[in-house]
Amino acid sequence: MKPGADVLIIGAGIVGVACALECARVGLSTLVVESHMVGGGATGAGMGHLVVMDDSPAQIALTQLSCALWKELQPDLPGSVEYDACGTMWVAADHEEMAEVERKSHIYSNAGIVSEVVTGRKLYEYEPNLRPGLSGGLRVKGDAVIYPPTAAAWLLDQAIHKGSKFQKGQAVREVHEGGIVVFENGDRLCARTVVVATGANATKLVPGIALKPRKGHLIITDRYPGHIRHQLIELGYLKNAHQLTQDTVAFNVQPRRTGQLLIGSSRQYGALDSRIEKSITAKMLERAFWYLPHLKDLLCLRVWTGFRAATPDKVPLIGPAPNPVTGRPMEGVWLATGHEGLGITTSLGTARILADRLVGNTPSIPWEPYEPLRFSLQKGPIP
Amino acid sequence: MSGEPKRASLLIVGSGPAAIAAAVTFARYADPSEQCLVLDEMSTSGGQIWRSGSTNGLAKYWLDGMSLPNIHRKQGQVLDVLPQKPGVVFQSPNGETQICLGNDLVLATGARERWIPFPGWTLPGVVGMGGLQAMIKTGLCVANKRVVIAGSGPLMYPVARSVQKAKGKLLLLAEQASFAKLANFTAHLPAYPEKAFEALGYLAKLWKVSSPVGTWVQQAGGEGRLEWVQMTNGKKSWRMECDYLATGCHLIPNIDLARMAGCTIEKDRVKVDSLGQTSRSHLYAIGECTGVGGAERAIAQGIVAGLAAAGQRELSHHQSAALPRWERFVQLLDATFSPRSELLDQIREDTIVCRCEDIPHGKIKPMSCWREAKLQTRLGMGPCQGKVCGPAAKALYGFEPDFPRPPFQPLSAQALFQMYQSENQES
Repeated sequence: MKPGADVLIIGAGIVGVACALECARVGLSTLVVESHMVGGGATGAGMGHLVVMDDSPAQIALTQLSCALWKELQPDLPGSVEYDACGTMWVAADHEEMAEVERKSHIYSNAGIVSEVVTGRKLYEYEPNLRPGLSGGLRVKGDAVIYPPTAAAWLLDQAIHKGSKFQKGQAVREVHEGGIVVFENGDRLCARTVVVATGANATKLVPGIALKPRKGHLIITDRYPGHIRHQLIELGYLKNAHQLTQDTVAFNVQPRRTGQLLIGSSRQYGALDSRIEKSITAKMLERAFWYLPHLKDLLCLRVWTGFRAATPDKVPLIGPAPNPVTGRPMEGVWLATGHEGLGITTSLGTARILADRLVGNTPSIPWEPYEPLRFSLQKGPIP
Repeated sequence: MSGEPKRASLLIVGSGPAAIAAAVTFARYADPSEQCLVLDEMSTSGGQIWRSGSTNGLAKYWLDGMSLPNIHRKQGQVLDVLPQKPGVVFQSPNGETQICLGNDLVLATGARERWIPFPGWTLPGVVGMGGLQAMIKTGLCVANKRVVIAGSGPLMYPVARSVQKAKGKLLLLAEQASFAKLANFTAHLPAYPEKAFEALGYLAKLWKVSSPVGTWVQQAGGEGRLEWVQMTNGKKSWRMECDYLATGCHLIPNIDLARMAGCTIEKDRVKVDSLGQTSRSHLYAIGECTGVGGAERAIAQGIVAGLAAAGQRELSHHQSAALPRWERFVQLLDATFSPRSELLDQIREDTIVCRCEDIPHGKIKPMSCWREAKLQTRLGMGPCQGKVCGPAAKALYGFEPDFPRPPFQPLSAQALFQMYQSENQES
C-alpha cells in the first residue's frame, strides 16, 4: 500500500489533536481519524488543570514544557476554552506537610518555576473557605485551568487550518507493521507513521503495552463564583494519588470559569465499567468536606467517571510502539498515550516531542524517559 | 443521618391518581398487617392533576382512601433507585436521607410538558401550561390580564378554565393539531365516554373563547418581557398583544427513574406487562410514565398493580381487561397531539434551545449527538440537566439523551454524600 499521509493519528482526544497540529506545523501531511467525537473520551471527562507536577524529573520536564506551550497559545484561545490563570494552591494540613511545601518549593525554584510559600493567615486571605487550622500551602501562580473538550476542538480546527485532514465515524480495528490501519468496516489506510492516541484504549490496538485504565470520579456543582480562587489540592496528593495498587481519593477541587466547582479526585485500577461507585464517591466527598466545610451546602448537578491511561512510572509513552509479539519497535507505528491524569497539560509537550522526533529534530527536553520501549511487554490479560 | 431502612410491603413513588389507586387498592385487598408507603415530593396527595383540591367525585373517592390506616405517606425526594432490590434512597425536606425498601416497588412518576423552542419562548411572560396553572394556584393574579393559550393536548382545557376562573382575559385557545387529526380523535371519543363527557364539560364553559385548530405560535416578542405573540395557521399569520402566553406541546412520560433502575423503555415510555410489571422483577410502573393517557387510565392501572402487589393475582388479571382500551387511547393521544413539522422548522439560528446555559440553535445544529453537543456547547449542562432541552433536542435534532443518573435535581453535596453512603451500607 502507498502511504496516504505522512502521519495518521488515531483518536481526536486532546493528545491526538495536539499531535496533529504540531505535525501539520512542521509540514507533515496529517490525517486524524476518530470513531465518535472530538474530546469525547478522557479529554471530556477530566478536569483540565494545566499544572507543573514534580513526581519525577521526567514529569517536571514534560509538564513544564507543556505549561509554557499553553501560555504561548493562551492569547489565541477562544473564550469557549475558558482559560483561567487561577494558579494552584497545594494545601498543607499540618507541620509535616508544611515541610513538604518547603521541599516542593525548592524543586520548583530549581526548575525555574515561580511559587510562593504561604503560611497561616495568608492562606485564608487567598482561600477564605478553607477549614480553619491548616498550616499553609504552596501557591503556584503560573498554573491554569481550561475546559478540555473545546480546547481539543480548537486545536483540531487549527490543525485543519494548517492542512491536516479529519475523518470521523469509523473506528479503527487493527494497526499493523508498516503503518497500516484497518477500520471496522474493513477499509484500510496506510501512512508513513501511524500514531495511536486512544488513551486507555491503546492496548486494544497495541496489546501488551504497559498501560492500564485508571478510573476516576468527578462531581460538578452549580455556579458559586469566588467560593474558591485557586485549584486546591492537598499536599498529600502525590502520596494519595500515586499509590499504584490501592483505590485512593485525594482532595482536588477546581474553580471553573463558569463559577462552578469541580470536585475530585479518585483513582481506581481494575474498575472497567463507567458506573458511579458509591463508596469511593462518598469518600471523595468526605475528603473535600474536610478541607472545604461549606462545600456541603453547595448544589451538585452531575457526577461522572472517566478513565485515565496509566503507566507504571507515571510518565507517558511517546515514540515507536513495541511489536506485540517480538517486543521490538513496530515499523511505522507510534504511541502517544499513557498520560494518566495529566493529559490535558502534557498534550502540547507530547505533540512537540513527537513532531520533533518524526522530522529528525532534537526535542528541547530529553525524549528518552518517554520512549515506550522502556517497558517490556506485559504478558497475559490486563488485570 | 440515615437510620435503619424504612420497610413496607408496598413502596410507591409519586402520589398522582395512579399511585393513589394502587395504594388504596393495596390497602383494601392486602392483609391488614401489610403496610404501604407512598413517597411524594409534594406535601399533599393528588399529583399535578388533583393537587389543586379540584374535587370531582372520582378524585374525592380516591383521595379519601388515602386515610386508610395502613397507608403511610412521606414527603421528600427520591434520589436513587437501588440496583439490587425493590427500594429507593429518599430525602426528607429536612435533608435527612434514608433507604426505603418494599417487597414491591411501584413507580408512578407521571409526565412533564414538552417544549419545542420558538423565537421568543424564553421571554418572561411565556410559561408552560402546567406552569401557569400552578402559578395561578399559588397566587399569581391574572385578573384582567390578556392570556393566550397555544399548544397541544387536552391539558390546555383545564388550564383555560383556571384562567377563566381567575378572571383572566382568555384571548385565544389555539391547538396546533390539524383539523383532520382532531376530527379523527373526535370520531374515536365515543369509545371513551368518561373522556367525551369531560370534553363536553369544557366545551360548555369555553365555547365563547376563540379556539382555532391547526394554529400555533410562530414567535413571541416584547421589550424584556412578553408583549405580543405572532400566531399562524400556515396560511396567514397575525399578531396579538398579550400579557401571558401559556404553551407546551402535549406531555412526555417521566422515565428517568425507571430507566436508571434498568427497566426496559420502549418508545420513550416504561414498558410494562398487563399487570404493570416492568422488565425488573418486583418493580411496577403505572400512570403517565407508561404513556400519557389521563387520570382514568392511571386509576385503572393503579387498581391492577395494587391488586397484584396485594397477592390478588386473579382479581388483578380480571381488572387488567380494562387496560387495552386505555392503551389505544394513549396511542390516539400521541398520534393526535404530536408536534407538527412546522413547529420544528420555525426555529432560528439565535433561538435559545437550552435556557439554563443560553445555548442558541445555531451552535447546536452542527453537533452530531447529545454528548458532543454537551461537551462542545454546554447544552443540557445547567441545573435542569436536560429535563427541558433534552426533549426539545430530541425533537429538533434527533439526539438521544444520556443514560440518566443521580442527582436528578440539583442536590446539596451533603445529601449526595449521604445518598452514596446509605446505598453503600445497604449493598
